[in-house]
Amino acid sequence: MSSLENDLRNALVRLEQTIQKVVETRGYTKEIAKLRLLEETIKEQLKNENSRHSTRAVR
Amino acid sequence: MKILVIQLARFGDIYLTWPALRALRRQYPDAQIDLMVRERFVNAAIGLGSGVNVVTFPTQAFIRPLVERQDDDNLMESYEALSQWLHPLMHMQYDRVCNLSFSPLSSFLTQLVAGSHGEVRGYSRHSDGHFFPVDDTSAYFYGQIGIGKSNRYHLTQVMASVCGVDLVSEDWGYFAELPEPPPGAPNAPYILFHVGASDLQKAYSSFKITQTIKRLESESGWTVALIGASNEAGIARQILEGSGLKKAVDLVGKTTLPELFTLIRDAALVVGPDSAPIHVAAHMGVRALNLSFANVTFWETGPVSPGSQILVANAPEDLPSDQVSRTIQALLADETPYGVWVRDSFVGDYAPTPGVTRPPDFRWRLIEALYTGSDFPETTDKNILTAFKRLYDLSDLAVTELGRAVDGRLSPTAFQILGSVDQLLEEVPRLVPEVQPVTDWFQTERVRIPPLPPSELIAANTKVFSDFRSILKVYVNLVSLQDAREQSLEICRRLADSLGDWDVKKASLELSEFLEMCRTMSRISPKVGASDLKWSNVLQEVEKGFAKKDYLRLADLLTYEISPALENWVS
Repeated sequence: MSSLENDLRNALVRLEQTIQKVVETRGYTKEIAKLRLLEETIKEQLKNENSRHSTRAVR
Repeated sequence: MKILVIQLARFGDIYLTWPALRALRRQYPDAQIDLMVRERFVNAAIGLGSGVNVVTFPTQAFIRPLVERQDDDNLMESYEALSQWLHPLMHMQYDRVCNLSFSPLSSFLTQLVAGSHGEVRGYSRHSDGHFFPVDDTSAYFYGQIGIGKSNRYHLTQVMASVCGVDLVSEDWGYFAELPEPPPGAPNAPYILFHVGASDLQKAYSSFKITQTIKRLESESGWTVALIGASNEAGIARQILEGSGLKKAVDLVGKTTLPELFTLIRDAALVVGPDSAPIHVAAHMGVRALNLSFANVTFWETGPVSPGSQILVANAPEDLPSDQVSRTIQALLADETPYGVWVRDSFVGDYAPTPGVTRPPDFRWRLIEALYTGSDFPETTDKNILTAFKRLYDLSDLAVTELGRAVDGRLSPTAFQILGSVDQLLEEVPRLVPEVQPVTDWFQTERVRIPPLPPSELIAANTKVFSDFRSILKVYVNLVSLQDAREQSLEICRRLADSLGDWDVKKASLELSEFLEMCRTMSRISPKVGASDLKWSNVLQEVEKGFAKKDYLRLADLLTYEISPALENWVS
């Protein structure tokens, strides 16, 4: 794994943890939407990162 | 009026978006129209003309802190950069935001920028953050467009539909001053050959390109110029070095985007995979020969300039170079096409010529039936019918379990059963792909359900499962369309008789069968046979009549309007 990919994956892990914590306490807000937007931006830079689950939720 | 169109995909997708932008300008001549693209593709907006403002999505500005700084604050810096960039957009108060990117990233972006102000079209998010394809066309895109899917609508049409506009031929074109041809450009007439593609699986091999050009040079004296991006320069070298080609010109990586437009304008033909140059050819009204391989759906992204053709093969190695050169020469000599798909107009369709192997139509006709109300395709294939029967049983089970909910609560057993239903609903189309359009439609409708209180959520899911079941009923009884018509006439007459006899209890029992029949028949055909009576109106009238206890009127409706229409249909 390249250094760039490593940095982005580390950031992604921290971001996902942050999102989870905030959602649990405050629910879905504009701030969460921005964090999710940032999360997807990072995912797009990583090869083979699966974004499909972000569009595949049924109630 | 302020309109934002979001297109964060690549060059080719931006060129496919141009017609929708022009159509928006036609429909809203005084509107402010903004187009958002990624920074690295901003040059694909050159040629749109002065009516569109370009906004860029600066990916690197958000990513840079994560790479340049290794401390825990780098996430905050990225977030701040994103927030600062978003702030003016969120306060723009667009009246319409059209997301033509169809990605998770763009769905969050759309929700943030649109806020609660404007109309949203395209992928967005529900208020709880769940994914939401807002309009019917986006729902269609989500369900029926992608790898392994069976869509046959061109993406230019799909994008226009998302934007809420219709296209005309004049929506293609280049609306800026064109530069001089690039240095080294050959004198017309010449053929342009695009050597690469954004996806290597779409690209014809360098050896075969060499062989094709050799034939064109020796058999008809054509000059061929190679085009492509700078990272495809190596492919051009492979084609030319030691090839013995006398007239071929290498322009790969040597043109700006506007120069490419000029080059294409003066070309007799553009040859290549479905990538940006084919779409540029459309805007310059130049014919294209698209070399299309099985992993690409040419219906979606093929050339649309009138007279363009498509040569289809399973893989690049299955397309001989002599066939390519013969097809090119025949096209340029305006000979009767053979073995290709042809395009007759910008807003028309692709038609096969003799010699083309037509792909199976069942899935496409199923899609047409689901989304346009045309007749459902008949089948006698046992696997397909069994798959529909299994799906019907699963949907029936789901409706039953959902019906057991009390105060919007399901029992643990019901949850388990519904969980198993969900798993099996994914398994059936994997085993029998022909039914996939129906299950994809169903899954999309479930995704569109917004956050709701529990009892309303149960009701919404019940409706989707019931609609799903009605569709499947078309195939469940091994029906031919004639059988379906005869059965519906029988059900109608029975209900009319019960009402006419004032046997309300019997009629009430027959009512649910009648209503389900109406829903099923409305899937087969929106109208009752050749009459003007619509099944949706019949459904409404009958439900209303029963609610008001207007049994006499209902009996008359069934006897004197619906039954005769069905009798005509049956005969």
